[in-house]
Amino acid sequence: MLRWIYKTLWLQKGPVLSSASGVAAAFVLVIALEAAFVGESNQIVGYIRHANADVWVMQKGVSNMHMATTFVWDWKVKRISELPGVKHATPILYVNTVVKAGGRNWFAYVIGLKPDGARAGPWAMTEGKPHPGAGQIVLPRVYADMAGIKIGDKAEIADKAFTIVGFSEQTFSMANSIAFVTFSDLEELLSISGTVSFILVDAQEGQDPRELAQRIEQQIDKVSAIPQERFIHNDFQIALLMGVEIVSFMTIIGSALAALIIAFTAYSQVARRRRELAIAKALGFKNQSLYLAIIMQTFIITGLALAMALLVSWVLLPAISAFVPQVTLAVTTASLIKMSLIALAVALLAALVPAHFVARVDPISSFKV
Amino acid sequence: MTKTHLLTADNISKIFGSGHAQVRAVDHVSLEVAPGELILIMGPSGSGKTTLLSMLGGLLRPSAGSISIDGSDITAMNESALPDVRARKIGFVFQAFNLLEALTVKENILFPTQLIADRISAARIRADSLIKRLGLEERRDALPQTLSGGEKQRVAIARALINQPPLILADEPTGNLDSKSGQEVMMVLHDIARDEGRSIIMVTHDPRVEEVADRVLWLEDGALRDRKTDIHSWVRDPVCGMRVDEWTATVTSEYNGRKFVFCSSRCLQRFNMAPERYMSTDQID
Repeated sequence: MLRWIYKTLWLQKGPVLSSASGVAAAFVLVIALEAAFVGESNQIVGYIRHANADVWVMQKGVSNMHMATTFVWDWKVKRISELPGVKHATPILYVNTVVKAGGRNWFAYVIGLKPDGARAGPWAMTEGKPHPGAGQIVLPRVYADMAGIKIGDKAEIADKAFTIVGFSEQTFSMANSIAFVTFSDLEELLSISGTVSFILVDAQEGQDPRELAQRIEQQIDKVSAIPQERFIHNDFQIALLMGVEIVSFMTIIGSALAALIIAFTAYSQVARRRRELAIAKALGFKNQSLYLAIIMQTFIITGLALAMALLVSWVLLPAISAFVPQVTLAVTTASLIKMSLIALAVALLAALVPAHFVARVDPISSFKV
Repeated sequence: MTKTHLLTADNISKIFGSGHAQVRAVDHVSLEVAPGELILIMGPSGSGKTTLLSMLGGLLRPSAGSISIDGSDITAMNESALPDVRARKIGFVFQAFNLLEALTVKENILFPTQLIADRISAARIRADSLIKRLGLEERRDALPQTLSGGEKQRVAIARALINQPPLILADEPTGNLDSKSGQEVMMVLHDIARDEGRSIIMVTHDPRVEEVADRVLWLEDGALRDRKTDIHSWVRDPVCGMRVDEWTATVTSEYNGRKFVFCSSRCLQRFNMAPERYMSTDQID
């Protein structure tokens, strides 16, 4: 039976390959969307991951960084740094706002760095210096690529102009990018003083970050202290909430499109082979055997499409990231397993219509000339 | 039913439609077939031959009456049990050959062996034996589209025999063949009945076949009747020159106001390619 199915498909290899390509395109669309989504989500937590504090301290009730507003009295920085198990406490000021540069507007995290706060600054530079001075700003390198700006050009935040002194790597995403200015410039911009947004706490060697976070919350009033991994998880969940519906919707559309193409292909194959199915029935094959044949057929087409999609994704997605730097794509094993499961469901769904057709084939029609 | 009969059809009828649109395609037909018997069912077009054959093959349920094959009443069986009867007890040979176009000769022959619990090695040995017996050795790996009509029908016969069924049902097996191939196929079927003891029921219009049959049944208006011997109207096929019964022939054509009768659709095709060539042929035998 498998040989019959395989050889029949091979006989129709042109149409079968066309259909598999269509299905593969739908699968690639789903994989690419997922990759873009995961890539962007990773970028959203990129700053937290690279700053790599053991514990993040912020205003009580706040549990994430993305789109958050938090103010903590600056005297608490010293209190925290004096707690047992704390090696170092680095304050940053932080705001989500728009940076204007090269005639374009960019949504960005703006991080205000203290003169001794280099550990909270950019972790990879393409050009210029990593630590801005007064009236200076460090921007993502992608800005330079996209807007043609260079060192010495001006960038604006609200009504304040800054001189660009450096371009950093891994600090851009479509949802947010990261700009670095001095702490005092950002204080002036926000018209505040005596407060910080986050305190990046480095633990002493051998200190469990969870215990340290508990200690900070117990001994310092009105702050939340969250270990690094938990903080990353919280921000990632925010990112998921922001995009998961769109991605889910597009996944459903892509999967439905794939199912339709496979169902149409399988139906065409079955309709074309109506007479052969009638012959098989006349010879003694039961409906169940022929259903199985149809399911095998859709699985072969879907498997072919999945293999094509994975191959294209493997080649195409890194190429997109290389040529379009503002797009961050991340293909994970989990998303590939998810795609394979979707393909399995698509194949089963697509087999339903032709299976119904098979049941209606009358073996007597094999007598017709 | 007595043990000596492989197939017994007892007073079977088939009615299609209802009310004014009701058609009685087969009307109270009874039939007994002994092992090794070759029976022809002849009759004019629309007389119910294929309907009768479909019922005998378990493809169509009779409206009334019963059919037993090898001691089993197939009319009393569930629908789901009938495919198994067809797989084990019946081999089908069709007018249009009905080979699976993606499979080679040998694969086509082996196709029904999936339906029976048998070792594949044993099935392959039987297939090789049939291929040799039917003169298909050189064509075992060929696809159906590359075969001649006669070869296709020999493959179809091998496929019908591969599961060693006691009964072969053949619907116009020579209908799409030229006279030479038709004669070959008939002799193969005749040998199968004579040498292997398999019963063959054959629906045909081909009067040449009568000579090899054990019995000829005449079906008319759905009922078996005595055939009058004087109803033949012999004419010559203008293409191959074969004698054809104009009264029962189904392959006919009109050209320039003249009616032509052919032994097969193949001869008709050849006629249609150059009808002027055959205009001088006198069809009266």
